[in-house]
Amino acid sequence: MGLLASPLVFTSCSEDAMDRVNENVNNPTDVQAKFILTDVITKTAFSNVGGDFNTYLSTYVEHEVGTHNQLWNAEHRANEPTRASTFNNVWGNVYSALRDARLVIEKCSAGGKQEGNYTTLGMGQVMAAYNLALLTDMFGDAPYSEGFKPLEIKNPKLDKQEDLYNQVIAYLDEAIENLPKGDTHGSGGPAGQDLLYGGSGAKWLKFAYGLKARYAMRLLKVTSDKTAALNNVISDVDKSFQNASEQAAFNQYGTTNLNPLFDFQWSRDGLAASKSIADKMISRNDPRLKRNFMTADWVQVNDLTSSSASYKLLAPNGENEQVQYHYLTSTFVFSQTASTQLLSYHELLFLKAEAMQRLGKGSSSIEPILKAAVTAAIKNSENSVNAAFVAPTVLANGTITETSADITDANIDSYFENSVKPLFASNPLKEIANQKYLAFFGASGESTEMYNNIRLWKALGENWIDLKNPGKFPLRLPYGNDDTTTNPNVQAAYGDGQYVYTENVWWAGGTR
Amino acid sequence: MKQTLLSFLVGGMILTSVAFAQEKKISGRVTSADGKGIPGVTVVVQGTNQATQTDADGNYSLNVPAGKVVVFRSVGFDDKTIIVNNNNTVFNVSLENHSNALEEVVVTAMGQSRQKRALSYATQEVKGDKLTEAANSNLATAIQGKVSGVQVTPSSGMPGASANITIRGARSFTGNNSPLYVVDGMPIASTSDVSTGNGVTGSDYANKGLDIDPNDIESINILKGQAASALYGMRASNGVIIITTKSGKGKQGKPQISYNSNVSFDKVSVLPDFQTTYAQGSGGKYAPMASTSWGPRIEELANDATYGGNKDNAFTKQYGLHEGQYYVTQRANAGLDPWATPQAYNNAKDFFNVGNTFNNSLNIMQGFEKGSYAMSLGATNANGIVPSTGMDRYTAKLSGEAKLSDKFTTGFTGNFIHSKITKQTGANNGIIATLYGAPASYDLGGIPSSYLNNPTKQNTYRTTGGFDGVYWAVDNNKFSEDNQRFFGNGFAQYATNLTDNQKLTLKYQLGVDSYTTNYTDLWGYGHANGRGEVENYHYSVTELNSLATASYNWKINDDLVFDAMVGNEIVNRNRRQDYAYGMNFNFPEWNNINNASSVTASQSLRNTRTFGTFGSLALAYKNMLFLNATGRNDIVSSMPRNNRSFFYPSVSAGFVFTELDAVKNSVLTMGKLRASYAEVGQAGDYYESYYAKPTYGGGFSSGTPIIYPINSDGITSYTPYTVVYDPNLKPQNTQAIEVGTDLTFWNGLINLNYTFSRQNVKDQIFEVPLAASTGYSSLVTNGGKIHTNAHEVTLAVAPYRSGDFKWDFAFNFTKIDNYVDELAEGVNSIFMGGFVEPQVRAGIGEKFPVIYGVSYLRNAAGQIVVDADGMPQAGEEKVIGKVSPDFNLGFNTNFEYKKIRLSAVLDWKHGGQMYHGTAGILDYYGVTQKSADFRGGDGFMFEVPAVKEVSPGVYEKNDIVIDPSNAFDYFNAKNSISESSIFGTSFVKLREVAVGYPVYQNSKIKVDVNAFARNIILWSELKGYDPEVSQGNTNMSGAFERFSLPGTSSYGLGVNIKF
Repeated sequence: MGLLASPLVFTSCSEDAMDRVNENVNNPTDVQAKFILTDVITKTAFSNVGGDFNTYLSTYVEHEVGTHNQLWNAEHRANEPTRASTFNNVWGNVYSALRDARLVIEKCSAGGKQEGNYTTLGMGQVMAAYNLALLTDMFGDAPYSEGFKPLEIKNPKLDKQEDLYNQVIAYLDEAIENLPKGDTHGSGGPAGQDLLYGGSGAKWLKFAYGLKARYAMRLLKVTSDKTAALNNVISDVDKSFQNASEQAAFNQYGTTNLNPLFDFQWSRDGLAASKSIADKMISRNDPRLKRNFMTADWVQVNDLTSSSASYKLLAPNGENEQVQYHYLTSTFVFSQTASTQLLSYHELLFLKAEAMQRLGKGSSSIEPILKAAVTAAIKNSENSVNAAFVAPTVLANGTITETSADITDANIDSYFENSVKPLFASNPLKEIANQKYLAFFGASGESTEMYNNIRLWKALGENWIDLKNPGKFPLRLPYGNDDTTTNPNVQAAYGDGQYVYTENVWWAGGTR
Repeated sequence: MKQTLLSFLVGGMILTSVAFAQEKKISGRVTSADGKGIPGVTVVVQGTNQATQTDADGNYSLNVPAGKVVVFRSVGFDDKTIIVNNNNTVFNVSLENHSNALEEVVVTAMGQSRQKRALSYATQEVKGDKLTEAANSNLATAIQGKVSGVQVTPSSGMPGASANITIRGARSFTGNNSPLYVVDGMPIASTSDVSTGNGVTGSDYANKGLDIDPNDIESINILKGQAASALYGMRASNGVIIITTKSGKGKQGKPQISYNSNVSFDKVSVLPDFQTTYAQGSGGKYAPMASTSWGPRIEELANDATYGGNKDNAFTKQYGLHEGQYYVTQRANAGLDPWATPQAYNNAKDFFNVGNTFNNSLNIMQGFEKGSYAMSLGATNANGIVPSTGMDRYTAKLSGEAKLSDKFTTGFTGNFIHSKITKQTGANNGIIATLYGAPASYDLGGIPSSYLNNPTKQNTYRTTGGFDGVYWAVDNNKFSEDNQRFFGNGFAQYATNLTDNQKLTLKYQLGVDSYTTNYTDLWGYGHANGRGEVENYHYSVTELNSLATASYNWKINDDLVFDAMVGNEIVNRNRRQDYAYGMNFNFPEWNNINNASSVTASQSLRNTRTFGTFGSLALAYKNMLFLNATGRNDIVSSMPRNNRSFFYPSVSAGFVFTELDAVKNSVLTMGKLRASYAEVGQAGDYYESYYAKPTYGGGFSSGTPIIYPINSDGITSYTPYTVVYDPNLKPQNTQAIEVGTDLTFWNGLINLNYTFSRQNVKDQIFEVPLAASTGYSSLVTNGGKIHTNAHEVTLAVAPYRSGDFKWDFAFNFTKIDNYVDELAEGVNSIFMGGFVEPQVRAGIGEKFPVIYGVSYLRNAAGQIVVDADGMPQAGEEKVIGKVSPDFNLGFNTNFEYKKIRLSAVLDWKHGGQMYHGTAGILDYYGVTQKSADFRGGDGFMFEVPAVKEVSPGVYEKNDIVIDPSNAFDYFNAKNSISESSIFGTSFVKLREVAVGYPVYQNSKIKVDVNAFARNIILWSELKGYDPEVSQGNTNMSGAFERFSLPGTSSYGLGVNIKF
């Protein structure tokens, strides 16, 4: 017996032998930064920009109306807006994206394995800034400086929003330095792994400037030198995208990969057409009115007026019945292949117009900017609308009917002349805000940014957007329960969640 | 077992001592202890075909060669052997009742046979015939109610449905709590390769224990505590189920051939109470695609403004008035006459089939002088109550043993299993959602489930983005498991007497458990309004087990016996999984991965090795005092370097105090006290932290919205896996103390066993959830402490043991309390499954597990507070339900009157709760009778005692009557409060009842017929549902239900022929 066992004893259970048995051949223990960058971009676009934030916030800002289950509850300000479970998935996704962006930064920084890949480093910094701003815009004070060390710190403390924004700006400033320096490490640049710009550092640089403009405007209320800030908005916009082809649009959707708004609606049928936004379009005789709404039978509605039969099928904000396949929907919920905009060209133009207006520049200089913004917005909207009518999954299930013609440049010109200009003349900031509001209605994931804008304007005492939901307007989103259940610091900050109705974030005049 | 050993010993003696002898005729009378003759006793010359039976008075006569051994064998008595010497021709024999269980020999750890008397820890044996009495083809559920300390949690009544067995509670929150299965000395896999995880979607996956055909089981012995199982090391910390299959050992004589055949019919055990008054719709108005039944009264459909045939509307304009009818869009979609007369349908009842199960098995066993063999063939063919579900299982076993010489023995056993299980989804996206939720007004079975000329476009009462229509699903979605498995072993044994009183036995056994299981989870073209998806994957697992033991027995003197054993076990397991996922079929009606427009594949390999060295020492004094000690050292591969080797000891003692002269009496004929202490560990599944391809899905998505490679350039990504591994991982450790007593009164009239055990589990290994702000979801580390107090009582009473009437009964009482003492720093609870809310969790200070979710709003005094309308309100998220029962009580009884046998098993579970999503949401859907009563009556009140706030901080008893018109708002309010879906799950089930009768018997053939029934709910706290049905094959099973497939009750007939 001993003879049988002894050779086995020596060969089969030494630490080396056991290490070989336990080797993980299925997964790598390390990868190059560019392979991490890819999912930072995808996750940011699909999950963080276009995902649950945007779905819920589209009902808060009345781009859409929640009409089933969780979204109906959110629409009616039932428990969802205060519940730690509501945004937990995306809370985690933002932290994942931040973790991965930080890994890109770490690997491309001094001492990292791809040291010398400055451009990739800059991309990581832009994405870190982007997600960090998103995090704190939604949740206010949040763990960051102590995060991402699971073996050492299990309960990261919260950082103040002001500190987080300092970090955002620092990331962008460093990115602006790094992006032009190229990728010098032997592993090379990201090329196709960069799903936004195919590895173009120049385009990322414009993206970084654009974000600087967005965040400078965001901090307007808490910035002491507002004039300088607004001038910076203008100069940063000028260094950013020159046309829509340069915007930070995530374009990877198709038959298999789904636009997140489409994915939500196709899975859940939870959104219906918002009456308040339709009213805004009707009052402006907006050409998008004939394009942006569908019946429950998938026929485009081209006759929406306050007296038409279809008008009755608009969901009254906050007062709709919980019923599916009854109300109209937006056309965008079918836009399977529409891009997600991380930062759109039209947003930059609106930022510039707003900054110029706040600086008191003459309306003749602002008008062309506003017109360019409205034109870019309508073209973006048209891209999404047209995507709906060729959505492969929709077509595999039936017929979706387009009943109105594409919006032409002439339509836009006359709309601007007859509707926008007079309103701009009577209250320039209000019309800039409202055009931006209409521009962000769509399948591009821009309701989140509109929620930020509305909160800032309210904080500045400017109620530009007329919201109709009789319920309380949530001032922020509740922390995710992955932290409220495991991290006492976040648990304490969350309390019972009711603070979402009472406490503004710091940049909107609150304390946290 | 005793007879086996005895005949072995005696057989061995004959071999060595007897040469040739003359044949002579012997005769005599066989009597029982009370002196009465026993008829029908088989009298056989060992090792030959010479046999006879006693007559009605117990007399026999038989020709026997002198020097041969004659065996007397009869049901209910212990075998007796005599050696025919030359002097006597008359042998009167008295047989002992078989009930003196303590003299029995049982198989314990590592195949060691021990007298039951000598055991110093709790074990419990179940004979094969008790397992198969009611023809249950699943071993896991066949032991329900028959043993104490064991909890079995089935998942549903589907063929092959998973069932979780735990012995003395759980030791791990998220890891394996299943006992080790040891079949004929060889450990085999018993758990599923595919875990349902913490998810709440998809189909169930069968446990590997299903591969054992209960018909081939001679007996099972359950080693409950860690002291009993310590020799098996790490894998046995959850207890061991030792299965001995039928063998020819000790069955000398002509071959014993038995053939069993039975058929059972299954029906859905219970259905919810559906309403038949109100039609589909919302707000009292008919809506043809509404998921709810809050429409008008069904007979009013003809008067609906939009769809009614009595009214002037678009449809009557087009088709003319249709008095008394209404326009049904779905009928039009399917190409039927769209006009239907309103009526109520029994949609759920009509959907389920009568299931059937056929069990056939053939056993052949024979013993010879120098060996034995056994062969078993089994077939189980089942069709479930849900169309398209079923199971076909074929098993074959061959075993044999040969005595090569007086010192060498060799043997083998081999089992081959082929099984195929077809399933349907039984979870949140499962078919029950669109079955139970179907409005009574909708002709679910009558209206085709797809559009005319478009079989993949679903046509049902509601939208199919998240839920497939039930009839469409069973036609188009396929879930299957195909399994081929071989397990078995061969051994060689050398036994020699070193001296007269010392014996050494060396044994080497090599075994293999090898299987390939192919899984397909297929959602057909048209699923979720998409183009379908398919997952094909297979697991190939080979586990090699090398076991060498040396045992030494020394009868020091008449009073002292010493036993020692040392051994080595090497377990080497290789698992390979190949996985392919295809989505978006190019064209309909060819649902195959070769038709997928996008295919991804992956592979996963996992090797593990355990190197165990063990030893045991036993000292027995005067059949009275028994001391045992064991030790085992395991070196495991799946732990971090330099943290792989662990030693675990156990000590135990048994004291048969009735052997003391001062205590000996005729009432308490045997009394034993026993105590043990043991430590056993459980290894982790450690890896160096790694990167993985990110995956998308879950949340609101009904499919996989993003998949890498992401575009035609093949771009993919790798990011850190969300689970990180602690490089300082230690094994988790279970310390167990067990004390107990075994008492036999009046020579076995009453047997009482009681065991108390306490387990302290520290350094529990599990995925400790991390705050998302750490960037990861969980950390595999040592993060928890739990303890379990378990009380087990078995009480067996045999008030009538002889004559025409025999009756015995037994109780198995189990009370297991699992408490969570401590969790890793910063962790308040562990997520085990569920939605974002509610969830199944383990929480500090709570029994394990609990349900956590949105509670009712309560005031400071803990009273539920209703709002001004009398509606319940949502409060904080907290523990809203406790899953574990207060106790389980099984009751078995057997009657025999003349030749008729009647047996029954009752199972009572007391206490415990479940999140029952289905029961909650059906009210909200408006399909239940309750929802009809509430909207049709004179008003109603919130059903739970509550208070209303009359002024700030001042509360009075709730007396607010809710108007029937607000019934939907009421159920909607409840639907958003998970606590309203917490239900008690106490039940009493008639687990099994069987009656048997031998219709024909002669010396060559014996034919028994029997009838049986299983799982008849006698009483249940949860009305309308089987309280044992729940989600998952993991530790969350029994805690969470939402659209699970239902339970079944079975009725059947069988025949058993013995040659």
